[in-house]
Amino acid sequence: MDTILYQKRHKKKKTSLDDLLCEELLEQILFRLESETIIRCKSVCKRWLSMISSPEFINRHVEFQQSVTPISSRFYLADLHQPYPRHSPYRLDICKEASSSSSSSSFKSFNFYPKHPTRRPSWRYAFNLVGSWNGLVLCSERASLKEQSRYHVCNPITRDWLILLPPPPRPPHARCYDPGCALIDDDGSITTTGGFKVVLIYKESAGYFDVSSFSTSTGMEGHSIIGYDSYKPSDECSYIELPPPIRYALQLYLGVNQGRIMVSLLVQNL
Amino acid sequence: MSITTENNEKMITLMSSDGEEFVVEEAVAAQSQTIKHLIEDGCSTEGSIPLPNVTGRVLSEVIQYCKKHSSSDDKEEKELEAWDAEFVKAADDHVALTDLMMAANFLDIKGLLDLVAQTLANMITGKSPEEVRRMWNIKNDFTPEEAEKVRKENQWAFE
Repeated sequence: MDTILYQKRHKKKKTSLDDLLCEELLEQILFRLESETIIRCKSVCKRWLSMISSPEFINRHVEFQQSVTPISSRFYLADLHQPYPRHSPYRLDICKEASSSSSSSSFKSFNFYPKHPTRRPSWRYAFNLVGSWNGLVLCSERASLKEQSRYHVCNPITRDWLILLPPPPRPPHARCYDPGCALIDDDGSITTTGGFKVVLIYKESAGYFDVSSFSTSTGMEGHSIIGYDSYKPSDECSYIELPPPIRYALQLYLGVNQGRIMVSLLVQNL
Repeated sequence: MSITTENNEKMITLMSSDGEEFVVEEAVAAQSQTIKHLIEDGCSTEGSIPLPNVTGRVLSEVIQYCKKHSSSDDKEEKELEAWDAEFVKAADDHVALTDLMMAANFLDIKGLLDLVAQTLANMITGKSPEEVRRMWNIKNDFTPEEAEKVRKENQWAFE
């Protein structure tokens, strides 16, 4: 078989994958990996680290994973109606659906144990997983539809929870939050110990992201993304101005690169 | 089962980078979008189609794949999957797979590209960074401090 030939050549040349594959093809391989493996692969070499950390890669990874299995089928929050502090009230199941029948389905389940004592039992309503970043998950929770959501950051492996300070009030015309959220710490790198910023995007109507501001310091209305620092009171939160209103944006992704929040828009050309 | 119409089928000659010639049915060769476009542009009328980026050894494997997949319409999907699994197993070495992947990319055969990329991804899954480096022969260019920093930031994935 030809395999023998390949092995010989491999041994002789000691060819590295990096020498052979261009960026595009390496990406084709890497964005097929599950998040956990991807994160580990950051330690392989500098080229892989910079590739995996780039917002473009993250977006493509998300897109690819979503095309394989819709996000709703990959993340499940179960047992939500058991009141705190009953045993194991939250379970996050990350399930990758098998593409055909019952073969090779990978399934991972984390139990959440909220450690934070201030959790209100009534907030078990509308508990949502709204974003994940670098192995941490961001959950939103609110007592009723009228109430502003609170945000929690959780490390599903260590089961550490952090309840963030309340976000700034929602602008009156905004209908709902878009689930795009990013977690970053103060110097822009993502750690499990640092502070977090949560970026909220308001959605005006389908297909039109009115990323609106309600600046409490200036009272100005504009189009911006609200970056809110969970360690600062909400009236000190900062705003990131965006260019003209984003119309016809179909999908919006957030990424973080070198301390900057990157926004990628999938825009329909009309 | 379908009856192959070898006699009626138009044949195409492909020439690898090392001068090897392969005569295949047009339907087989047209699995490659690149070749399909070349045929449409009339490049196949003047003898063989040269493929300067693909060696004969790799091209023969690619053709093997295309043959199987062009005659597979009425076959069970499972059988094809099993065949695919055997196909990549036969070249279960990352250099061989890399060659295949580059060829699939150049020839624009999406199915093959997906198959090989997924196989390479599966080879990485579950491996430690050290194992990945050894396997793919990648040099660790981090200083110990940098390595520790990256590791710390992503601690959970190592547990």
